[in-house]
Amino acid sequence: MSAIFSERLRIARDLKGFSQTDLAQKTNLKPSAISHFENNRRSPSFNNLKQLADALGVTVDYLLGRAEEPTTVNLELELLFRNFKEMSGPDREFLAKMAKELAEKSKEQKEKKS
Amino acid sequence: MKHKLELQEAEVEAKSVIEKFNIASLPICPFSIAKEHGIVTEPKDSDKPGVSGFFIKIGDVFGIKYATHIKNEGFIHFTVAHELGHYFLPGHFEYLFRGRDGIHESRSGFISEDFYEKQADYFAKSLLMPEELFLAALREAGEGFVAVKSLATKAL
Repeated sequence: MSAIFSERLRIARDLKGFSQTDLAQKTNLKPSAISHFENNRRSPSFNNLKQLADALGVTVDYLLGRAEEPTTVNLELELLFRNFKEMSGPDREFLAKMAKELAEKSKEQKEKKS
Repeated sequence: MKHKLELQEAEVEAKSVIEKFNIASLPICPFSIAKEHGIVTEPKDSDKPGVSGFFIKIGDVFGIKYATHIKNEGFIHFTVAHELGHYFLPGHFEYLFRGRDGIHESRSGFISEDFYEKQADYFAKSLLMPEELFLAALREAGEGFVAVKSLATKAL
């Protein structure tokens, strides 16, 4: 499990002035789930991370420790291609195209949170 | 059975997704579920075999790219549902970003020993053929190949 996620979640919740119950209500999660996350007893899903990030006004990457600032995202696309050699040429081309589209969408979302 | 609890967890998560969508009958469309969660789905524009699906994360945006070289709607739905498993199952972010940042790929025709892959497969099975709804359809389906065809029609 991710200790940095537990810490970041607690910090972001405190900064927002939410109790665990408040955050649970805003994310449709159980208060016990928030407690488990903050005490590093349970791992979240990407869906949980997205729900939590949206409720707290931070990014998923911040919660995961992949970005230092609360509203910063990690757009280092070169890391997407570590398995480049295993893919066919068209696969690489289409994946790169999709990556570009998602990066644009991610930037738009980030601007809304900033 | 190895990892019995984790497979049960996949079933519970799939059931939770179905309940949140208020789905009361077959078929269950993984594309609608992806869209509802803001997950971008796109077909690979290639008829060449190989990678059956990708789960992609860039910033706070998630995407699924799926192969179309096998002209079978069930195969495509299962591929997308499998990738959704990586989105909905607890702990999969740790697996997906282990050593290779930002992308996960699945290969068709290969039975992965990796428990995360099996858990995502089990999630897909539980999402597309939830026990309660599927058994109800099964009871009405009759017998033999007619039943198989009837179930295939109802589930897609």
